[in-house]
This record gives sequence, C-alpha cells and structure tokens, in this order.
Amino acid sequence: MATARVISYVGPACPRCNMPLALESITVGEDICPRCQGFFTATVFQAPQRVTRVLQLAQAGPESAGSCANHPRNVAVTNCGRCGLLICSLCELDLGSEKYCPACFDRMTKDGGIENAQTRFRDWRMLALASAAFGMVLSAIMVGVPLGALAIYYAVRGFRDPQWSKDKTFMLVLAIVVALMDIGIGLGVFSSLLLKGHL
Amino acid sequence: MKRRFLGRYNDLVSRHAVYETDGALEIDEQDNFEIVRKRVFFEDVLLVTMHERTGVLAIFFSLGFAAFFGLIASIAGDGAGWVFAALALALLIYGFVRMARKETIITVFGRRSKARIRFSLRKARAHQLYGELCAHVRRVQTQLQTQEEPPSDDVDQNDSIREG
Repeated sequence: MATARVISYVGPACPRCNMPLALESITVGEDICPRCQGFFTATVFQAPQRVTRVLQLAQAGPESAGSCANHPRNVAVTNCGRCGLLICSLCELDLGSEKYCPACFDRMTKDGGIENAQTRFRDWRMLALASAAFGMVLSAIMVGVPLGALAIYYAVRGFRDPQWSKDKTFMLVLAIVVALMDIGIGLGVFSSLLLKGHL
Repeated sequence: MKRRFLGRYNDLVSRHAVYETDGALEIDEQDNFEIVRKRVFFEDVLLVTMHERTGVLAIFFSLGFAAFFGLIASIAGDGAGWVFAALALALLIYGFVRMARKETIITVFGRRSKARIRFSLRKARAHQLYGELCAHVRRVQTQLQTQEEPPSDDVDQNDSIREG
C-alpha cells in the first residue's frame, strides 16, 4: 500500500515563488510579488466562517429535550442513522440521505460505505493502458492474448466506473485498440506456429 | 451538477486532473494505479490567481526529442528517415510555438489546500475559466453568508467523543 505524502500548505502564496502572502497585502487585479517581482492577476475572497447553532439544555430545560451523548450540555437534535445515538448539531454529520454520529461516520468511511467520503480510487484507465502496453511488448511470446483480454476487462470497468469522465475516454479507447492488437498478434503467432508444425 | 473536467497540472513528479462539482474543486492526483482525491471547497476559497510563465520543461523536451529524431532521420536516410524527420519537424514546431506562447496557470487557494490548472496553448479558455471560477466562488460564499445566523454564546464543544 502506498504511503501518504504529507505536504505542508501555508495558505495563500505567490503563485510563482510560493512565498506566503497576507490577504490584506494583495491588490485585486494585477499584483506583483514582493520577492520574485513576478506579475499575477488576483481576486481575493472573504471566505465566511462556518457557524453551527447549538441549543443548550439550560435554555431548553431538562424535561423538554434529551442531551447529546458526546456533549451532555447540548440538546440532542437527532439520532445517528446507524447506531441510534442521540446527537447535537455539533456532532451531526448530514450526508443528505442520512445523519450520522462522528464515530459511525469514521467507521463507515474506513469500510468504504460512504461514497462521498472516499478519497482513494482504483485507476482503471492506467491499469488498462499498462496491461495493453505490457501485452504489446510480450505479444511475440503470446502473452499478449491474456494481457490484452485483461486490458479490455480493465477498460470496460473504467467505462462503468462512477468516477468516469469524458477526459478518460481517449485513453480507455486507446487501451482497447492496443489490447485487440495484442490479441491479434498473439493469435497470429500461435496460428503460424501451428501451421509450421512447431506445436 | 455533474462533475466537469477543467484541466490538468502535470510536472516531473506528479499528475493532477482538476474537476468542478457543485460545492468544490476536486483534484485527482495520480498515485501509481490509484487516484487520490483532494477537494478545495468553494466556501473555503481565499484567493484565485492567474499568471503566465514560459514552460521551460516542455520546450526542453520537445526540442530535445526533435533533435534526437532528427539525428535518427539523418542516420536512417530514405524510407524510415522521412518518418523520423516528420516527427522531428512536428516536435520542433511545437517547441517553437511553446517558446512564443507562454502557458497560463490558474491557482485556487483554499483554507486547507490549493488547486492548479495549466493551459499550455488555450489562453482565452484560461481567462474564461478564471472568470467562471471567481463568479462561482462569489456566488457560493454570498449564498452562505446570507444563510448563516449568529452562533450561540455558550456552547459545549468538548471534543471527547463517546464510542457509538
């Protein structure tokens, strides 16, 4: 399994030399970096801070509402859709179809149960291309036949993948074409050996 | 909104494809036979920049390969030589075009990550996308600002999470 690379991100910086820049010092429109003296066009945004409105038990009264399992002072607004735990709006992770507590969300993310939270995907396009190319190199010894078939399988999986997008079409089609050539060359070598009586 | 392909940013060690979704820019980084996805949410965007630079690497490789194929063409002579000469000429033209036209790079800086898209030849497309991205970010952030209400004063934000 590949190890995760940790790359430090310092926030807004000069796009040319990566020197960190304070947002207040950036001129909207044409600006110049104080270090590299390079020009760039900039648009600054005031990203709003996300705020969560949390109702306290002291405000709602202990009889009128249940308390959150993770934050006893907060009023529970819903149940976790998986374990049924009472959770407040701080803990509530709304995935559109269902609401989960943080613990269940973590477990489901690890299990791959939440599609939106997945950050790693198999690259069928690269697998198809690599198999097809490797099959072409080894097509003279008939290995191209199984590798070509494998490349076609990967390409079909690539087309069926929900992550598929138009920009991947060319490479997938190329992989299929090369895979068919692999199979053709492999079968050609096999039949010529058969005709010559070597098999 | 369906995921829309915006462009790529490739260098010697990494390959990125950038897509636009409703709420974020998705950056797919190639990691051997896997894709690692990062997101820059529009609500988190702090700065969008666009700049031009000379693609030294592309010029170096295209002219280098043009010289290499030219050498093979001169050695091979007639027949195969013409094929290599045509390849060398195409690469030579591409190298000179890249020397004449600078590449445009759009960078989107979020709170936690950034996205970069490079346009080698399509400068007009880069300017159009820059405008589109800025408009999209502005729209999302304005929408969020109007939705947000002031937070309550005394909130229990204890991080201890009981196992569910």
